[in-house]
Amino acid sequence: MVELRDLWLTYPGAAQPSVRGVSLRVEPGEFVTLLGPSGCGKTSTLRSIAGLETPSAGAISIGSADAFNATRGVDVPTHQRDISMVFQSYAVWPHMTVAKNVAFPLEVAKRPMDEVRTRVAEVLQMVGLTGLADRSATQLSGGQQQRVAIARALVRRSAVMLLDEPLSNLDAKLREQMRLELRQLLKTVGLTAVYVTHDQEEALMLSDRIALMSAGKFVEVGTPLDLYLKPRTLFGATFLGAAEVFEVVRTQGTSIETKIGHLHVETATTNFSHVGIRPEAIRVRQQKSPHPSANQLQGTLVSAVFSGRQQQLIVQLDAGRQIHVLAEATTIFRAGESITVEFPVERLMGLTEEASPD
Amino acid sequence: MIKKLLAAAFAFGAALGQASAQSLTELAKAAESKPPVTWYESSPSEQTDKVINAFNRKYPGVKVRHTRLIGGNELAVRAVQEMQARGYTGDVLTGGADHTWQLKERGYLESVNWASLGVPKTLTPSPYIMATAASVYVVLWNTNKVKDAEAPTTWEEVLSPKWTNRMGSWVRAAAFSQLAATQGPDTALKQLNRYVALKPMLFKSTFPLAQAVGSGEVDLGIGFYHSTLPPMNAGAPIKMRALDIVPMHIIYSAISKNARNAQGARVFLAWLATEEGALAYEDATGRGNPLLEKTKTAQFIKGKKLSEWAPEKSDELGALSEHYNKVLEAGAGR
Amino acid sequence: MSPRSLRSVFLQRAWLPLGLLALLLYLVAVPLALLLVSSFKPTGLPFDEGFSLQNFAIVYGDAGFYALLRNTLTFALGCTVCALVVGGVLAWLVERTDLPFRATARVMIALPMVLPPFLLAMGWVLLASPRTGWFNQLAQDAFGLAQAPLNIYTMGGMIFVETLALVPSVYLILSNAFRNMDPALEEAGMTCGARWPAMVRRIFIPLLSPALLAAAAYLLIVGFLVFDVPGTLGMPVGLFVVSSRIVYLATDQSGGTSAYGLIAAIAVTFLVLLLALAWSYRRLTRQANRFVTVTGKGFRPRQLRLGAMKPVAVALVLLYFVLAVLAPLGLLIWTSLTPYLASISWDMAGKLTLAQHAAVFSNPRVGAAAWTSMWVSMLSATLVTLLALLVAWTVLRTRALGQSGRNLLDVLSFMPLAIPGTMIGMALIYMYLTLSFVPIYGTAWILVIAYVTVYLSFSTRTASASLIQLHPELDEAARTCGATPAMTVRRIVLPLLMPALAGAWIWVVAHVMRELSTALLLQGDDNVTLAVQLWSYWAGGEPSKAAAVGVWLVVVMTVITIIWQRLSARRDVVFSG
Repeated sequence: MVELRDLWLTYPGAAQPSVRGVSLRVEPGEFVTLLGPSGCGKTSTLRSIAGLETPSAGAISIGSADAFNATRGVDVPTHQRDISMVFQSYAVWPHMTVAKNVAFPLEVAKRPMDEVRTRVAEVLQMVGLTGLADRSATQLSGGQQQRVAIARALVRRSAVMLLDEPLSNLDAKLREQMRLELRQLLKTVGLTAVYVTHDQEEALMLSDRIALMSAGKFVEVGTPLDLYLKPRTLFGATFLGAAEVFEVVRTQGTSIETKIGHLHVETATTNFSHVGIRPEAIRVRQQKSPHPSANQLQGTLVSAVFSGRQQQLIVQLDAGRQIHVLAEATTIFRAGESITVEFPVERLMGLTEEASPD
Repeated sequence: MIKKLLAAAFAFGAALGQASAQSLTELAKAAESKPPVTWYESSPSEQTDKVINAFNRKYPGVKVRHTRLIGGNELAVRAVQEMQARGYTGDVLTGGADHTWQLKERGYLESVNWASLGVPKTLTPSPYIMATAASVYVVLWNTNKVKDAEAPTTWEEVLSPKWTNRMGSWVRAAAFSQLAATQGPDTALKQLNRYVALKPMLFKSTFPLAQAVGSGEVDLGIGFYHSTLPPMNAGAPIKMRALDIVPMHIIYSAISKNARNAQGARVFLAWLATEEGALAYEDATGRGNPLLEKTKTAQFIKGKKLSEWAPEKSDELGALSEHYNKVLEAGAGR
Repeated sequence: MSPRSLRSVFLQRAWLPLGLLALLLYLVAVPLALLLVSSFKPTGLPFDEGFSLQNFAIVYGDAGFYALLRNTLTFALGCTVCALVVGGVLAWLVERTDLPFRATARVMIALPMVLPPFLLAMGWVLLASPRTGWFNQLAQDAFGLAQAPLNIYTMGGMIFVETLALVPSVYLILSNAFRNMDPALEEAGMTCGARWPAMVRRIFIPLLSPALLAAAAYLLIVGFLVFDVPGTLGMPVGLFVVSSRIVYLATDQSGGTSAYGLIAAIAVTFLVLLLALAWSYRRLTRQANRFVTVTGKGFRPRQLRLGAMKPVAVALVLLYFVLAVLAPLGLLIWTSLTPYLASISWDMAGKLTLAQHAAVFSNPRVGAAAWTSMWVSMLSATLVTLLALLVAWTVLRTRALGQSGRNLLDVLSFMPLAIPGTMIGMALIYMYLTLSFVPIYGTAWILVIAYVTVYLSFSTRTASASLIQLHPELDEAARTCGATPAMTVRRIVLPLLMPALAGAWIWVVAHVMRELSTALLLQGDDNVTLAVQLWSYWAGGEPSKAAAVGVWLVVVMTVITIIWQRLSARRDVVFSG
């Protein structure tokens, strides 16, 4: 298990800190993803856990021991931390064979030869590279090299595996395939993992929990489902998945006056700045509703684009805004049609602009 | 007053006693039990091996070790460095007048009673140094390019404009600074300027100069006797002769203070001052002692007027040489 | 946060970098200090009395000195530009095209390293001297010319010959960089529609700039301080450069001692120049990740198909080989067979003899000198390469010693380039005379220390340039696998850097075997090297024997270079599969 306590990191010579007071607790066997746009500090945080960067303040513990503690002057060097890491560039050593690459952590730990051989074979089988053991690392494709990197990290059986955007250099199809494999692999072995990516779909598919990061801070931390269906911040709603958000003008209990009209929400709170909804949650009907009920709005269809699984509609609301809707592909829409959109009350999300305290 | 007289008497008696008590054989015997005599000198070791072998035929027990230092300047600096850092340097130091004199001025040389060692007085202008050999200036020419009758016999003939663009020279104008010892600085400078007008080709040392005369790169040059010998003896078409006035650099040997084997040093230098020693040195290195008439060098310059500054005038000579070198350098540009 | 406790944690792990810094201070700072002190002493000897600025006044107050500087600048810039172009073209042809016989080409291009430059210059005198040069005679006979077409005794001649001598060094630096270029970076440029000139200007040159700048800085400083070629080709016609002045001050200055004070005063200028060059090099390579090209992604650099240009390329390489190796070597062999120095002619051909070679082989001193040269060169090369790797690693990949500590380490490793070999020698004499309990004065061991110091700059630059190209994640990955920094260097960095390090090793071996001024100065009883022996023959009036030694020197180095080529070729197989 890994714990970060109020971690700060400012690079020497930098004007601003890259990581600002980040705290997180990763339970054993949990798969946590640090998700955010580039430059948000997620890689810096990951590298701090690895010991490849030195934080300016805070503490990190891996397993039960402190790996880093600024106040107590503890800074365990990378090679003594119980971690393994998969790099974005794969970092597979070109002058060694696949087997040698994977065996390296065990050789470094001076494990006996037969143990090394067995564990390497085992792990190569797990990643599907049996038979390539004696191939030179430079003769492999990108995907194969990534598997070598993963195998090398697996063979160590460390307390936590750190993964720094390991799939971002693969082509889309391979990426999709490897995502599922990776998740399955890690769950089978039961490893604790901290994963960094900017790809939200990946984060949603792989993680037990997601820590959404922006400008060095954790904005929201939660399970994929929670974060997707019930984000609490504007950033969470718009970065993870898409959302149509409407600025709040006045709140009266569960009735919110927004810039596009009155909407009803489930729970009454006073500190929403916006109300949002996922495009696929918006219901559409192809006629004007004579008596629009709560959360129903009229509009005109601007365009409809068919994309296989669904249709992407752009609706010009009478209230003045254009919104995107993801509808089922079975109905045929025509541009210019009158449309009624409905925001189901249970799908409306109340959002604030600040980072949610966690 | 009496004290002084007594002291002087004692010193004199001691000196006399030294001369008679310590003959060369006794010195040699004392030297045998000491570490080898270290000899700092600038000839190649193959050559000095021959000298030392000849020495050991006479004094088999006295070992001599030669360390080659590539030039007088380096030799002097090394001696200074060693004296300053550890208090002793090579037992025997052989170098130019300015080098040895400079070391004497620093107090690094021992005063030696040369007479008691049998060294002729002509070789020892000072109790600190002994003339061992000399670099003697000659004119040398390529016999295919210059007929023997044409070749200069006097300095005036050397400076004739017909040698323009055909002359080779050492990069140092040392011949002319030595000429100034007998001609006077003004005349020598005038001669130097006329020489420079010939646009001589400059060489780092007289050895490549002699090679260049041999290969025809230049038709003739002002070089040294000993550096002209090698290509000449190898069959190159070179001839040389001494001019009417012969400038030269006498090479002196000295014994350093705190020498590890002072006795051996004395024996060795005494031997070098004999005909046998001087000839052995000349055979090996080409440089002979011009003040011992049996050497080839002495024969070569017989009857000519010699021109060289005395060691005490080293500072003056130094300033003059610097000036002349600059003139030569500046004038050689094309 | 408690700064004191953090610092103590660092200290525990910092003994190796601290030791490294101490070693470098010992090797470099002491000669440097002696040089500076010497410049302020009237006599130039550091332990004499007096402190004055007169040395500076004498040197920089002399109008002639600035004429010297101008000549030197022309010479140095000319050599730098020419060597960069020639070396760059050759390196590119060998590493980035499908040139045939590449392995042979590598050996051929590296060979000239082993010829002592003054022998190279002497060879060219015999070829292109207006009066006796063989090429001139051939041309005049063939075309009936009145005037000789070639004159080697010119600035152009000096630049030409020195360039030939410098190309191997440039080739080594640049070929490493070329070999490690990621084709994806170039392909990106090409798919953007960039054509060749733009590609060279905006992609190649910037990517290669650490290597190019390292090469240029090295060439510039060497061009300023080198003596043999300007001495042999410039001095005869009154073309003097700064090194001529330095050598004059050491050996020909009147007054009874070498004028070390004046030499030191001149050297100070070059130290300043060198510091400026080092500063700009650091600024350029500060964002080192910009130049990373070796990642774990494994690639083979893109090879250009020469096609119709193949014969032209081969001809170019051959031309270089003829000019830099065959012609001077031929003259060397000729000279070793003639009884006295003479240009090529039918008459002389009748007088050829093997007597000089026999004399050289039967001289026991030559054998001893050869043995000394071999072990001193190999030991120095090994030590300095290891040291260079450690310095480069500490500066580029660790956080030890703090940023200023690492800067100091880097600068110290670069400094010896600007200190003339004679001053390093002089400093070592003082040091080991004083530290008499270390009994290396006058032995070959003092040569080893001198050469490690002298060649530290080139080796560290080579190691740094290669390390910059190595993706840091390759060694970070090792650390996350539990490898200590030492293990990481041994099992990951060293093998990956081996081609570059091997090249640096052979370069040092070649240069030590031919190095003269330091070996001459440090001569003691039994540390005569082959180069000194060679020079001894030359300066003693036996150029034929000197040439004979030179010929065998080339033979020995050729064998060593071929062995090196075979060993590093095996590495390439691992890389390119």
